[in-house]
Amino acid sequence: MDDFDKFERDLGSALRSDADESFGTFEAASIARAAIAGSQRRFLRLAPRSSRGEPTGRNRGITLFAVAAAVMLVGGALVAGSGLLQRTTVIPSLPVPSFAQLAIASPNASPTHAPHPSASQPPSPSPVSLKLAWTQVALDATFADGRNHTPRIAWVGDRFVLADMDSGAVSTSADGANWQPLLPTDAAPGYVHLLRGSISNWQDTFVGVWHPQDGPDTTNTPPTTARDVVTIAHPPAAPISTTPFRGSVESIGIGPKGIVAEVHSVLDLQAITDTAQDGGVGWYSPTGEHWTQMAPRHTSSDLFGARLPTGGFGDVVGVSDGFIANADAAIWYSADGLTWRLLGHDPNSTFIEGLLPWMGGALVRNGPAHFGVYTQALVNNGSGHVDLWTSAGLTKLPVPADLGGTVGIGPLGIFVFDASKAWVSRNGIDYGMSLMPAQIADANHGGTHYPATVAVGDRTILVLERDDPQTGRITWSLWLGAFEP
Amino acid sequence: MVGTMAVQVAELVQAAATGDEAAFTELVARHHRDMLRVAYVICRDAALAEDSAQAAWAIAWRRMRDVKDPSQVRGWLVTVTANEARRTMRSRRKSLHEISVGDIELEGTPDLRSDPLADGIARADLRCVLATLDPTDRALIALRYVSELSSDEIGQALGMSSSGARGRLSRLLLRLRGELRDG
Repeated sequence: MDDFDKFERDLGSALRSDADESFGTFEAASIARAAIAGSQRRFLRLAPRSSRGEPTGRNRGITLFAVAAAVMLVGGALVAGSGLLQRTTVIPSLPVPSFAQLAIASPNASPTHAPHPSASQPPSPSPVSLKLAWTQVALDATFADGRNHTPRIAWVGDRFVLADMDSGAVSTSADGANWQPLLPTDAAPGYVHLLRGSISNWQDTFVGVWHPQDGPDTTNTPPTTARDVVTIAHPPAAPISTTPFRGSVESIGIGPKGIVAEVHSVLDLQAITDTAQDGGVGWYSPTGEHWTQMAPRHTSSDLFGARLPTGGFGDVVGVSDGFIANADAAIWYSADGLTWRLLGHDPNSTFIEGLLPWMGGALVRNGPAHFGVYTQALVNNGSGHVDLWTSAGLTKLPVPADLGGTVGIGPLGIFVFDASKAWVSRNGIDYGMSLMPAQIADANHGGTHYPATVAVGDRTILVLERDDPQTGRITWSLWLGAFEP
Repeated sequence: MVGTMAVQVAELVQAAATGDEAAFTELVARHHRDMLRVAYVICRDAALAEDSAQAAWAIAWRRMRDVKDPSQVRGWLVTVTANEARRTMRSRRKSLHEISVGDIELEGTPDLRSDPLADGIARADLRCVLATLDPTDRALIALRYVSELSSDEIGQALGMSSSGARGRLSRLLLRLRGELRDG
C-alpha cells in the first residue's frame, strides 16, 4: 500500500522476515477452538473516545455568546444549516438484572461542590435517580450528511458548541436541546479552530490544538512543516489562534497556573539536533501569549518513567495547584510549569496511557483500545477503583464496577459509556449506572474509525455519533441525556 | 479478483459472527500469520506474541458481530492484536527494563551481524534497535510497516491523534533510518 520509499519497504520486509522465522506452521482449527473456549471468560471492557475537559466552574455571569445571540435576535441572520429541528424521545430499555443492581444514585449529588475524594470513603449507591433519560436531537441537513460535514461538540464556558469543521457553521445551546446559530462575523471561526483537534480547559479558559494536515483542506493538504494551531478561548471573548511552535504539539495542559505544552521538533528538521533523543521540548506560558522553554534534558528512554523534564511527556494536565504529567509509569508534578519533581509511580508499575483532568487532579487512563475500538480513556480496568493523582499523591476512588469507555468531563461531573451501559458521577464517589438506549449503543457499537464524542454540560450531556453503515450513507446523530426527575 | 476476495472475507466474517466455527477457522487460517508478525514486533518474544495473538482471536470470536466493515477485518484484527501485545508488555515492563540492551546482544552469533533481512538491514541491528523502543513505538512500527495501516488508523487504534501518530512515526523513521542504514 502507500507511498513507502525504498527504506520503508525494506523495513517492512525485514520485520516480516524476522517474525516469520520465529514461527513455524500453525493449525488454524486448534487456534480457533482455543479462542472459542477462551472467549468464555468475562470481558466487560469496551470503549471509544473521550472529550477532554476539566470540570468547569459554575456559569459565569456573562453568557458565552451574548453578542451573537443579540445579533441573531435582531437580524435573524442564520449560518447556513446550523439549526436543529426536532427531538425524538427514546425510553431506554429496562436494565437487565446484572446491571439493575448497579443502577444506583446519590440523593445529594451536586455539580458545583464536589467533596474531596477519599479512598476510605466507600461508594455511595443510592436508590435516588442518577439515571439518565436520553432524547435524540435531530440534526438538520447541514450535519446529517456525513460525507460533507464533520461536526464536533464541546461544552465551552456556559454552553454547548456544535461546530462543523467543513462548512464552518457553529451553533450553540445552553441546554443541548435548543440551538442558535453563531455568525461567522462573531466568534465562529475561532470556535471551529478550538474544536477541530484536542481541547482541554481549566474552568472557563480553554485551549485547543490541531494540525493543518488534519483538515479541512484534504485536497491541498498542507505540508508536514505547517505549524500546529493553538487556540485559546476565554468566553465571552472571541477565541485567539496562534502558531507559536516550530514543532508538533503532542500534549497540552491548562491549569490555574497557565499552560504547558510538549512539542516535538520533527516538523522542523533544522531544529533536530539529535533525532534519536528527540524526547520533546516543554514549554510553559501563563496565558498562551508568551512561552518559556523548559530546560532540555536528554535522558535514556530506557529509564523507567524518568523522562521528565522534558524528555517526553505522556499527557500533561492542569491541576488545582499546578500541573501533573506522566511518562510511562511515572507521575510528575510541577507547581510553576517549568520545574518538575517526581511524584510517584503507578502502584502496579504498569504503563500509564495518559491522564484526564478531573476534580483538580489527574485521573489515570489505563487503556487505549479494547476489541479494536479506539478510546482515549479507560478509567477503570476491573480493579474496583480509579486512580486520581494530586500534588499530595495518589488517591484511589472506589468504583465497584468494571468501567471503561468514552469519557466526558464537565461541570456536571464525569460520564462514561460504552456500547451498552453508562456510568455517571458528580463527585467521583456517588454514582449512577444504567443501560444506554439501543439506538445509541448501535451507533457506537463496534465502530473502529468514528468513535463518539461526549460533551458534559452543567445540566445535560450530549453524545455525538457518526454512523457509518454498510449502505455507505454516513450520518450523524446527536443524543441528549438528562437526569430523570 | 481483489473484489472477490473481499466479498469472501466479508461472508466469512458475517458467518463467524453468527457462530459459524468453520468460517472462523478459515479467518484464522488467513490472518493469523499477520497477527503473529505484529505481535512479534511488539513483544520481541515468540511465546508472548503467540499468547497475544491467541488472546486477540478470543476477542475476535466474541466481538465479530461488531465489525462494521467486514471487508476490512484484517485491520481490525491486527489492531486488536497490537493492543493485546501492548497490554502484555505493559504488565511485564518493569521486569523487562531490568534487562539491558547489552544483555540481549547476540554474543556467540556474530553471523547475525551480517545476516541481512532486507537490503542493508541486518537482523542483529533490527533487533537491537527494536529492543530500545517502548511497546507503543514498536506497535506504531508494526502497524505501519508490517500491516500497512494509515496514520489515521494507527492513531485511532492506539489512542492518539492522527497528528500525534504521524509525528511519532516520523521521528521513529528518522531514527531507524540512521541506526539501520548507518549503523
